[in-house]
Amino acid sequence: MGLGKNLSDKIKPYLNERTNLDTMIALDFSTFMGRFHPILVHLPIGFLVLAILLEWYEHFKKTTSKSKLIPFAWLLGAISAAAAASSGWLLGETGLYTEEGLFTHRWLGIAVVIVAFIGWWLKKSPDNYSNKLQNGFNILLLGMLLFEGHKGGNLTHGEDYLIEYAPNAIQKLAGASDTKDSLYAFKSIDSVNVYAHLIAPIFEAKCVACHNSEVQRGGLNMALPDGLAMGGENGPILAKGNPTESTLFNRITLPQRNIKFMPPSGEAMTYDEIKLVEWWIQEGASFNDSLPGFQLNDAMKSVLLRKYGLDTKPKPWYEMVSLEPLEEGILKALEEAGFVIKELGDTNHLLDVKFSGQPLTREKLVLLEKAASHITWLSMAGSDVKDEWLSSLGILKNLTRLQLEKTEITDAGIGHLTGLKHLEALNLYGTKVTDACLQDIQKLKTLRRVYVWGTKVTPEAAKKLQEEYRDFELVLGAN
Amino acid sequence: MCNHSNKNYSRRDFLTKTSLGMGALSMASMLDPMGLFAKEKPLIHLPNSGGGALGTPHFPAKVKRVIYLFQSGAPSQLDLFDYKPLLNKMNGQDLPESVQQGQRLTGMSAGQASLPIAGSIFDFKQHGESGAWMSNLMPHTAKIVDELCFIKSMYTEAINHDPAVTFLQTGSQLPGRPSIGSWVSYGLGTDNKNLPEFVVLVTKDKYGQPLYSRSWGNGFLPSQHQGVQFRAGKDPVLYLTNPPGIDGTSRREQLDHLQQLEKINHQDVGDPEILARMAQYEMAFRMQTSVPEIMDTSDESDYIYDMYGEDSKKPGTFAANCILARRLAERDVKFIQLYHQGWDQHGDLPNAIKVQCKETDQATAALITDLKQRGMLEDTLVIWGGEFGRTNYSQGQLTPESFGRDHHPKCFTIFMAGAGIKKGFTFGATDEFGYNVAQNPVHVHDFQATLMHLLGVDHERLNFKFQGRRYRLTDVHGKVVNDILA
Repeated sequence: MGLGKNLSDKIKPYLNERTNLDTMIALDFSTFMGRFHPILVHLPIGFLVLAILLEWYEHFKKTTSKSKLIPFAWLLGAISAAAAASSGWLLGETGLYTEEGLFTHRWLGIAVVIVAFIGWWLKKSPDNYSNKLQNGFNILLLGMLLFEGHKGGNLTHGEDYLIEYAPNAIQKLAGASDTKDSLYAFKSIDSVNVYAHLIAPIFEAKCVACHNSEVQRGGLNMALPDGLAMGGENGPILAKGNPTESTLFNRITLPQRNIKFMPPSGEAMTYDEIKLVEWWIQEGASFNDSLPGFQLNDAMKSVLLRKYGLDTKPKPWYEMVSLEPLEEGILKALEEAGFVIKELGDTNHLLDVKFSGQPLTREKLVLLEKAASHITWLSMAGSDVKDEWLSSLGILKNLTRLQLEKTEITDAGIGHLTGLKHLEALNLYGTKVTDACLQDIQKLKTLRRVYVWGTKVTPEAAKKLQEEYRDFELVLGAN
Repeated sequence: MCNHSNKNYSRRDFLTKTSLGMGALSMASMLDPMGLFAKEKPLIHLPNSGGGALGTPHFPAKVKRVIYLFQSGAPSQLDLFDYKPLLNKMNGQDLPESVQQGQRLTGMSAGQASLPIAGSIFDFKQHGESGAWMSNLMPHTAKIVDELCFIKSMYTEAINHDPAVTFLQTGSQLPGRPSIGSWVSYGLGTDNKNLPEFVVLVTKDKYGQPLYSRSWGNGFLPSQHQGVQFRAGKDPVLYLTNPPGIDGTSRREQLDHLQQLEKINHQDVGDPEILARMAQYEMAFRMQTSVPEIMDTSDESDYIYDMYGEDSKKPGTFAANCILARRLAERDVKFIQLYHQGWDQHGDLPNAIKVQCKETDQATAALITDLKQRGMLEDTLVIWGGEFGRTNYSQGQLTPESFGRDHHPKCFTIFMAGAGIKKGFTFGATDEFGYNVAQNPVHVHDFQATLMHLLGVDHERLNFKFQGRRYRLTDVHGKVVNDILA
């Protein structure tokens, strides 16, 4: 991090801050006044509701003389409403709220002030006006107060605040979308979008309450990728590839007592969450890439495993295939032919097949075709399998391990195996194969381990092949 | 035995039969109330699945068989694997209380006036691409470190040999629970009906701490799951050969009739141990041919003997047992446990440990290499380790040439090789005094849980109801050590 190179970059936001500062100082006092708004708004509500209830009470009791208290309460209500509106105006000017949410609240508030004053005028000489007009006015004002209060509440607490914990029926009535996420079930690492599935839920839990589309503290909206990319009042919060230069990362890793530490209240981010955010920024803070597009170090791998149960180790093929159990009749036929058959697991119906009933014949081997997609481990070790019979193995599409050790197989037999798309281990020790079989072995791209101890494969040829393929082990053994 | 058929029920028979019979009936109806009256349901038919209680493993088994080279007596991790140069710098100084932290010591060194720190006198070097530390005591094993996975942060709760061995083998310090091999046999069944699932080989003429056969006992599991000890010499399995004058055919005939009688007996009394005994008779009969074939190693090439070392031609040695272990593994015996005693070096450690290493090092390395070249590390796991560690201070007098080390449960090292685990990998670490675990502790139950996981078994779901509650190998503990899994 050369200081000179980054100097201009460093000054730029600083300059912006200076120019903002003058206006900010002027704003300070008005902000101070503005913050009385949440207190003041309760006064008109109290006074006006009291006035209306009093009037209705007297009407109910059929009192002859109207109380002088009613117009007085209306006046108090109107004046306090004016105070609340002006403080509200100042608060709105701080820019912490979105304009679209603010508009109705602001102008409806002013309308309440006007209506309250007119009300006071009406109630001063109630006998001049009809009961209908008076009551209509009461109901109009109550309705306005209710709606205005609700709008104000939404601005402070967010739109979902009121109904978030309401019974489902009420939520449906209110038309809320069903947003409660159950823990995301990852099918495979390819299906994990890093931002949407790993990062966004952290922001959702720890940041979005104050940085969302409605409430944008510091001018920052963290609910949407656009908002994150744009940053807040003081500029961008993400420096792609550079967590320590990112305001976001800095603010969540400050000492917790620091006034700028985020989140200012509630639970701080956990170590794993901070590590995830750091890694996401380090890797370019992409909003679209899925997990395979990211570099993973061991520490991240264990965070993903611990926190999300995401195992990033390349899985063996047999754990990625899911199949229905093989028909019982086929299993029986295979067993009668001398194959020992086992299912890999409770829920994994792939088969581990071993031939044990000598002699092996072509007919018996052909039986395997009926279980073609189920066989993943196959051993014909020590059997009298012949080269040309291996041609029936080509269709075992999920075969990952093949044991042909201690048989009479030659190079010609290996040629029949080149169609196996998922073969990972091939045991040929003690067979008649030679260097020539390595040609065909090269064609098996998924092959990781080949055992050729006790064959005519030479160390030179083996070494040559090893050098060409790095992630491949040819085991020659001691001899 | 024939008396069974016309005798009256004893109190014991009555209780066994009624509790089991009624219990089984009520259990079955609880699990499936409709099934009690329904016709027999066809289960998935896999006659070859080996007859384990689980049927199929819970999940695909990376490991199909285990060879556990148990180093009884507790080898000194500080002189073999866990390199602590600080101990050499502080050689002879008293062990700080801040390190010992009031840890209880055995009666053998608790009374010592001082606990002088004893640095290892052996040369440590890093080996292989993985850079694993090993002393010069095990030159052969040092050559294959890239195949190994070391756990340097093992710890146990027991402080003396028998409880510690019992704890490691059965998950409890108190005798009476099934050993790991028995659980494996019970849960997963057999891959070769001619041999027991669980075979034990003990190096002969080794002394030191006694080794009890309950370490390979079946505990409360049916008794056919206990480990079968193969011995060196004329009778590898005791009482297996026919008496003079009895040939195989008449033995078979005799067994067939015995089975019929036992069947009647079982119908009458309902004791499950009768079934276990029937299974054992049959196994013994099959072993009459399979065991001699295993034990006759004359078909092994000379260079194989050379590989395992000169001892390997002497039956009963650790090296000869390693060859047998490989032969058993080739024949799909599920759990092969070797025991090698004599690691309990309270005094004269430098000389004694050299002897032990000479007996085991070459054969251990040869076994792993041999399994590898046969492609067997694809699905075989080899484990090497003792029951606890040894202290970083000297028991008895510390001299430039000699010292002893006492029992130390708070940390020890084991290593593994083979299927399902990372290769050339070291997991966990001790502090710089080699006294406490500093990083990634692995409890005995965690180790057992991991071992079962590799065998395709969820250690929490393989259990057996006994005396009113369900037991499992890891009791109520154990977490799979995911970080070592490949």
